[in-house]
Amino acid sequence: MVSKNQEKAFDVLWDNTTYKAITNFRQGKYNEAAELAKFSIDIAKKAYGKDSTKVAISMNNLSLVYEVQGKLLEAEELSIKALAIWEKALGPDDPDVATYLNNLAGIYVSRGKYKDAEPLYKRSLEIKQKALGPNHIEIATSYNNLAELYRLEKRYNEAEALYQKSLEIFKHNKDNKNPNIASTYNNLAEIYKIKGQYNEALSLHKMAFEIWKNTLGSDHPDIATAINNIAGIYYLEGNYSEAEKLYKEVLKIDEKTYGKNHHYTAMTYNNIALVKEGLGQYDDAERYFKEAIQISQNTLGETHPCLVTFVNNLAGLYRAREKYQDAEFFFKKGLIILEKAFGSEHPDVAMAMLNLAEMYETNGRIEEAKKLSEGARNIYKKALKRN
Amino acid sequence: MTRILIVEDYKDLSEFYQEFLEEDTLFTASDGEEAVELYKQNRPDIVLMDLKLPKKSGIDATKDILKIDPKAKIIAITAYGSTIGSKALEAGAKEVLRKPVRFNELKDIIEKYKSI
Repeated sequence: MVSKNQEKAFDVLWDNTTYKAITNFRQGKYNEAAELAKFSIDIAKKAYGKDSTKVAISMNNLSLVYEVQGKLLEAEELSIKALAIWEKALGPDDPDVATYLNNLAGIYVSRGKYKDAEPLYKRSLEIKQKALGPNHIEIATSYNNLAELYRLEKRYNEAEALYQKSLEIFKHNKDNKNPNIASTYNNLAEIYKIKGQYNEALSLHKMAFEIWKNTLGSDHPDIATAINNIAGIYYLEGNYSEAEKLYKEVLKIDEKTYGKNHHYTAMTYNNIALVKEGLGQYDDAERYFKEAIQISQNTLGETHPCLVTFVNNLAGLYRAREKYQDAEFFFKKGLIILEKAFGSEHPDVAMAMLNLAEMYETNGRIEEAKKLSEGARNIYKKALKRN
Repeated sequence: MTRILIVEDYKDLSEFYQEFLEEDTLFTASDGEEAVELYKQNRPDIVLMDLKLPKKSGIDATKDILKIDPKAKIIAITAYGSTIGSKALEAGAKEVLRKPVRFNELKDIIEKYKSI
């Protein structure tokens, strides 16, 4: 039995711990946030019982941290439990149920379970419309989430229409500085990018960046994503100098946030290398690709599939510069990684073999090319049937 | 059914694409001139364009196809990195894939251009 004084002490402890967990999460300090969220679940269970809404809140917070950390199964499990507690305690139409539905749907999206996510987002939207009216800011966020799902499902026109609806609500509320409007700008920009409307995409990405910079601060990891998106458009437009400048800013934030030995940092090194290659600065490109490979090997191991992109990019650079031995070495390395990661009967393995075979044939190594090509054919005939 | 023009001079790779895309209506060309001709005749929905090709390069074929149809959806594919890739983008290709293309990457990009 918990006394009244103890209960008060628990209230303060739970409030403080939860607040700190949320603060750390917002600052991108995910390990600290996870530990604090776990602690707040323990406090809530002990003080209020395992089915209390405070347990649900803390579980939901931890699931959000896990989602960002890529621990999706754990995130899903916690989110389902949190939703069940909340629905049982406050009924299926409680406005907060909408938030829990939304969070679970987000995890389903991260897991690629799009069909499971759609009804949850729609139910969340209906609850919010009923509780808050059609023009509440929360409705804009819901439209944005559903639109994001449609974008991932390649239902681009439906997605665009919902992003526009979301923006109309933000404008209706004269809420031009909300970080969520920045998300909508960013996501709509991605649709324009897909459609090749780069000017519109660039303008929206820049608007998103300004809002995030003012609300999150210039060192937040999301700022790096925003800059990265702008740089990506410059890269697609062939404006390599501008892209390079921005990718280097991303690199500074990555190194500050995650340290040099992190996969995100490796990806940025790779992006800078691509830009350097586009600028014809081949030695620099080579150096940056090698750095990306080295970091990835350190952080993900020698045979992680993420390494393949960097290895093949370097091989492509060597091939373009007619350094065929180096190209062969790295294309083979890519092939070995794919075999180890996915097994020797995966279509990616066949593609890598065909690519190497094509280079052999171009270089007059006809027999080797033929042998590899036959091997590839045997693999993809089986693999494509399976897929 | 989507109509796809595969432009690839390496026969074995072209066969892979054909098998992969067997549910679509396919046209195949092994050089840049043939690619432009087939585009003119058939107006496919999507073009997979290798960049290093005999007779006419993939870059020039891209330019010629876009003269015929400025809305042509051309996806360039190259084993020679972003120097040649950037020229394809300048010529009007929608995107550039680097060889060896990953299976899901190819699948996603085809689905994407089917949806636009």
